Amino acid sequence: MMGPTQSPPQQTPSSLTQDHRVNAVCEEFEKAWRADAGPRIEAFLEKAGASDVGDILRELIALEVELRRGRGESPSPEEYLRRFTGWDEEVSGAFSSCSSLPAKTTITLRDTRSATAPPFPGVGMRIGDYEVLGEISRGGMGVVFRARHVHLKRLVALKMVLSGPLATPTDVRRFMAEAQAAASLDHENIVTIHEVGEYLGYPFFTMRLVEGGNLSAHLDRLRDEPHAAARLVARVARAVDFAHRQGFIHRDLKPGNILIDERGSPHVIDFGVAKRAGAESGLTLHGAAVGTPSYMAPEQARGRPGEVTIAADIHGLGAVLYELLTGRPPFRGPTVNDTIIQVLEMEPVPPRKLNPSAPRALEMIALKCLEKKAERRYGSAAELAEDLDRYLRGEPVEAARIGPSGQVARLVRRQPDLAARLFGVGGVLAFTQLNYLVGRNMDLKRHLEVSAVEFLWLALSPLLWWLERHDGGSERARTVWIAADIAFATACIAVLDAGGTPYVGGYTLLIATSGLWSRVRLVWLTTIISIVGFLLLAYPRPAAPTFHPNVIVVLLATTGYVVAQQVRRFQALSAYHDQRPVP
Amino acid sequence: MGQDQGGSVTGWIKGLEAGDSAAAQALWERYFTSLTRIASQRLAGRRAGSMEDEEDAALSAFNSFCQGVVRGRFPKLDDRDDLWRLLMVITIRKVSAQVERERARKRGGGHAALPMDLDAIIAGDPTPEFVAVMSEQYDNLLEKLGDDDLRQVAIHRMEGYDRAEIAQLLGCAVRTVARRMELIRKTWAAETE
Repeated sequence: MMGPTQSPPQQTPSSLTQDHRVNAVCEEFEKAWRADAGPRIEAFLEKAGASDVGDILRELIALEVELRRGRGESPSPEEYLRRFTGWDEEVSGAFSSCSSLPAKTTITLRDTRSATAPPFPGVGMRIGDYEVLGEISRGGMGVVFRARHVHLKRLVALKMVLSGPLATPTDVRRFMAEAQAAASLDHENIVTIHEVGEYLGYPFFTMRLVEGGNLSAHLDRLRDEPHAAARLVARVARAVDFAHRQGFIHRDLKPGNILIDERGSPHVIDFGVAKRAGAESGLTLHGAAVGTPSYMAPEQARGRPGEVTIAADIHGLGAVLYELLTGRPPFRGPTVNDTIIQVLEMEPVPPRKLNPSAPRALEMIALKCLEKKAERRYGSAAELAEDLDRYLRGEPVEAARIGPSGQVARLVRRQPDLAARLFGVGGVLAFTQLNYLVGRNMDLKRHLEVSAVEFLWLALSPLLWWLERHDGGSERARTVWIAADIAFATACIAVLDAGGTPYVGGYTLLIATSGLWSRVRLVWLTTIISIVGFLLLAYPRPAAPTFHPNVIVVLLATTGYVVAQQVRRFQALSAYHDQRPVP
Repeated sequence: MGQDQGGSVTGWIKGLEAGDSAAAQALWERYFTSLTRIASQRLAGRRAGSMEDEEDAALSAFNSFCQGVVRGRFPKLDDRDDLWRLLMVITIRKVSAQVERERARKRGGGHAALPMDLDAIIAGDPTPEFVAVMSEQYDNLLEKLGDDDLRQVAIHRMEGYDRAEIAQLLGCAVRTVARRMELIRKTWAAETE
């Protein structure tokens, strides 16, 4: 091990890669510190390479000293000399560099607060002409304060955008221009922006203070009052329509952006500004997800801002109605990636499945708003409001008129696993009949046998699907379904005595299909059962001399491996997006 | 190896340290003002030329910086973290290499030589070509950092914030900003070699 005195002298420039290594360790340390994980320098040193130890130690001590001072502690060099005996040079180097930092002299903000105050900006501070009285909420993109204008004594809500999406001054300038434009929106159900400003390069705007919290707090009550929910959404829709006619698109309508005052009236916030602040696609430039995409329209989730029209707001209003009916947003997966896939591909669970007391008409209205294709939604927020009025008057609603082709399409999107089986097995059954009638090269007995197996498979699929649903998509239920599929496929091939024909390719299809459930174990299980099924078929019977079953076994195993690998990659990406801190 | 320009740049910085830094800052601001004007013209030209969605007209970090200068926020030229100096040196290199190539192509073409040292460049007015190369190099250098944490620090620094302010903005330790800044400086300095 290298002694401290042999560590490279300061003046030799360390290599860039070494600096990157040292930096990475320090970043990890600070992240752990801020997460209150109580990181220990000693533990970080153990992981470091011998040539990096000195540099990492010096940096980590300097970092820890600064972070501890920020907590109001006063760490001493003696303490660190005791903790790291033999590393005197690094300890004193760290201390001399931290005292030379301008931490105590130039940070003017810190002077106004005690050492234990929350990080910038905080209560008691002045932001422009406003005095911060308290924090109302804090989210991924910024903070909302209750504040008072120093001269006018007017109480306002002050929203400051702190995070990543507005990285450059141009972004800030545009954001401010848009907020300024939105200040012209004058509607009783839209919270008007008073003033736009900038503080330390971060934009803020002030708006009318609405006491009473946002719609999320009223979900429980409104779930059992569909009339009140419909009236509320209709009012919001009319306000949104007013803004649409002035050329504004909200792009981030959700319960959290609808405030409810003491009289129960809704007030939409963030009109014209949610767009810039990262909500426009839910993704930042680098693809990191901002917040939950649960309320996003599919065209927004695809990240093509050019396609986003007022239809995205219709979708948002539908999502709000959906949540009022069911108590949960229309799309919610375990990870951000899962949620985005649901937004893009899946139909929402019909509200009445989640809350049987929800009126059918409102279910229809919500689902029409949540259509994947923008042109299938209401043409304007006003049309949505009118349809809600129809429900309130007890008339039949426009949304109930959906053609049979629309219903089939909806079923396919809602239950892709069932639809795939019905289509696949149904198709095979149909062609079996056609081939028998046209080809006439099979005896009737065998034809009836194979048709019976296929028919049974087709008929049992809905039952298996229902079981899987009923069991909450558990692994056990899915295993049963997989085993049944493979058994039917094997039976078909056995009846046809086709173990040595291309029909065994069906097994690879089943393995690939199991990948749709995104569980590595299920993929391997399918692979193993497929191989067993195939072996039962292939070995007892003599096959063509050029056909070697072991080759198929290798192919099946490889297919399983590749599909499992894809699933693993998908899971890694999901985990990455979920762990990434919201900037 | 670039020792040729190194001499005058060092001399310029030395002069800055020894002499009247307020005057140097004034010179610097004058230079940036005209640099910014050219960058805005370029930007305006690009916008008028293409009728694409404004969202798509990806504005480079350099142009954004110029918008900051328009609003009166000048980078300071006061300490050893000065990334602008590195960007200037790299740009001068690039431009002189281009001129060199041009000259080799039409040998004896009688081109007026560009002033190739920092003093002369700062004393004169930036040309549109120079600004174009600078903007390109800036994007390039940001790309080289390969990490958003580093890029954020670099952009804030280029916009004139000091370490303590950047630490406040990013919610991290001042030490961390200093460490990242050192990495940025080294990465960019490697480009001048």
